[in-house]
Amino acid sequence: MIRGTVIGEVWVTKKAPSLDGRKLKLVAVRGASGAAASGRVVVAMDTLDAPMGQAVMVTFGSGARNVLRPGASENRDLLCDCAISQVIDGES
Amino acid sequence: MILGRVVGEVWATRKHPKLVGYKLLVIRPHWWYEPSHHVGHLVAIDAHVDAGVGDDVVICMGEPPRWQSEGPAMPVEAAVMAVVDRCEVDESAFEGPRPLKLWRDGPRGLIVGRIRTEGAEVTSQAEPERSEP
Amino acid sequence: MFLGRVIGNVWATKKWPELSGLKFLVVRPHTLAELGRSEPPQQCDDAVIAADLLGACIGEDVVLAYGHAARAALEELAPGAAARHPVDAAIVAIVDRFDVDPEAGEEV
Repeated sequence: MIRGTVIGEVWVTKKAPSLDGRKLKLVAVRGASGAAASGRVVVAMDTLDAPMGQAVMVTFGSGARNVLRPGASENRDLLCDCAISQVIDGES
Repeated sequence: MILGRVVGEVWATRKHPKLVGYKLLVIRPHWWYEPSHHVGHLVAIDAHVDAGVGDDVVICMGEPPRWQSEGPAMPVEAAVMAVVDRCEVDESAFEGPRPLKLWRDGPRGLIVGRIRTEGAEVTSQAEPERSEP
Repeated sequence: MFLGRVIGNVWATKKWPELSGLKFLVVRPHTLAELGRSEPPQQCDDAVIAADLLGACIGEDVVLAYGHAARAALEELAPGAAARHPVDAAIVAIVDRFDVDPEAGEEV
């Protein structure tokens, strides 16, 4: 999982079923120190309605599919490789 | 997932049988993508959305593209999962030591204006006039 | 996956048993600028060795897949055993033709 900041949103109409009723956010990945942007931006599925500027935790791969539909054997066809898994309240 | 623009299409009659019936699209990723080779493109199957050249798309990578048809896994690494209608990005992403870069204005409808959060309010500047691609 | 051109063959006698019967080709990935201009690779500065079940020849353009996708491509060779093939790249399609925006490779 990585830490990032929500920097944008993507709206789509023509889409795969995995996107029905779900939002897509642009997340800027933060570097190892957690402070500065790494320059990497990913598109993440958002089920937590994270607002712009919010610090979030993003998960990839099967973990992302589990955010949408838990159950490793039943969700491998779910088109999603990245999802916001937590909204970060604070960190030291 | 990543954002990219469909810049071309590939036609092949000699191919793995699991690829029969799927469009193969050439994608230029808009923003960060760490490819196996620095070739600036990737090829993705179009599983659901019938994207065409010039469309901005969301691409899913990894395992899900392999399971978009019944039976054994497909030999694919990337699948188009949506066509972008519009995209908004905070202007601060284009500042600082690692600013985002845009190719042909980036994803369709990109608003390069400050999106400010002041307390509970979110304000945004009006979308600037954009010419059609 | 990405597009590349077959530039050579690899023959090997001493190899892992799982690789018996598999053909291996040298493939040079195309840059996006080359795809737009439809020109041949300028120089071989990067190449990958890929398993080939489709019979691609030198000079042909191909679609290459990596990782699990490459092993999935070998499924028909050994159904159920694809996960054990020590292969990380495979040719999944031989290109008849492609059509790419000529300006697709321009620098930002």
